[in-house]
Amino acid sequence: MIHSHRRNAKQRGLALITFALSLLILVPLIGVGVDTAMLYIVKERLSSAVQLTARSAARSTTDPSDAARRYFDANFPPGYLGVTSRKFIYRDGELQASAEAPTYFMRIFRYQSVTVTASLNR
Amino acid sequence: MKSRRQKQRGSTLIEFVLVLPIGVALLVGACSMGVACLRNLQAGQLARDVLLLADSGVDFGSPGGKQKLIEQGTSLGLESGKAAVHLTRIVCESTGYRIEQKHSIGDTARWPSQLQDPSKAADLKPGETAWVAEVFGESGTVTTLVPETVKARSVL
Repeated sequence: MIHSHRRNAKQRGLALITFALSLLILVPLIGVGVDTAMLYIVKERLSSAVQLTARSAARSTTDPSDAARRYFDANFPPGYLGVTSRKFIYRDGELQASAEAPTYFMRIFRYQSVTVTASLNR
Repeated sequence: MKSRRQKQRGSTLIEFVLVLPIGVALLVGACSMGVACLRNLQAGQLARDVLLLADSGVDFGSPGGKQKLIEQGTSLGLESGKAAVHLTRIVCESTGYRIEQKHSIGDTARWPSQLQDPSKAADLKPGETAWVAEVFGESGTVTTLVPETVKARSVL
């Protein structure tokens, strides 16, 4: 009888402790999910920018590489979506772009930023 | 006098009540972020698709063109006033930039065009023209952590 009473007393607060421990796994998991979604948005916008830039450069009557640079800047300006740095290469109608997208939760795992790339070949 | 089982039930209930708000907040926050991300992607895709349509020669001033635009924006709720699209054709002349055409659809009173200065939308050379698409929509969020409006701008 005494043994049973002690066991019940020990069980009190167990749900709280279990939940607190599960939060240690849940919160980073949700964080990684949010970061991945944000990176996907950057990837999608970068792909769109590359696609639109390629079209604009192709129909340009002036220097295509200069037109490509200007249209890429218009579609994906510096600092867009919190991007820290971006690179853009246009050569013979082929386009390659990359951007350093910041992370918000993955910093816990020392991933300050992730490189997102998009390319378009003729 | 309460039995031991009744006491245990009471403490389980209290623990559940303590844990519930945190669990619900996490769930609602994650769902809100997910919906907002989806709407953000839809806004970006709509901006791109509208430009590709405009570039292919669709006249958005005609009823058929407007219908095509509405069909493109169905996923974002353009037909029900949950979004707005502004499509502007800008021209760069030797004297400066000029707006040649402007088409707006959706709830434009809630989301007016932010293209006050066309020269800031794109760096054009004299003689060049460009289409600028601005898309605004509801993010569908229920939390204050996520902005209420999603927006996208593309240039072609």
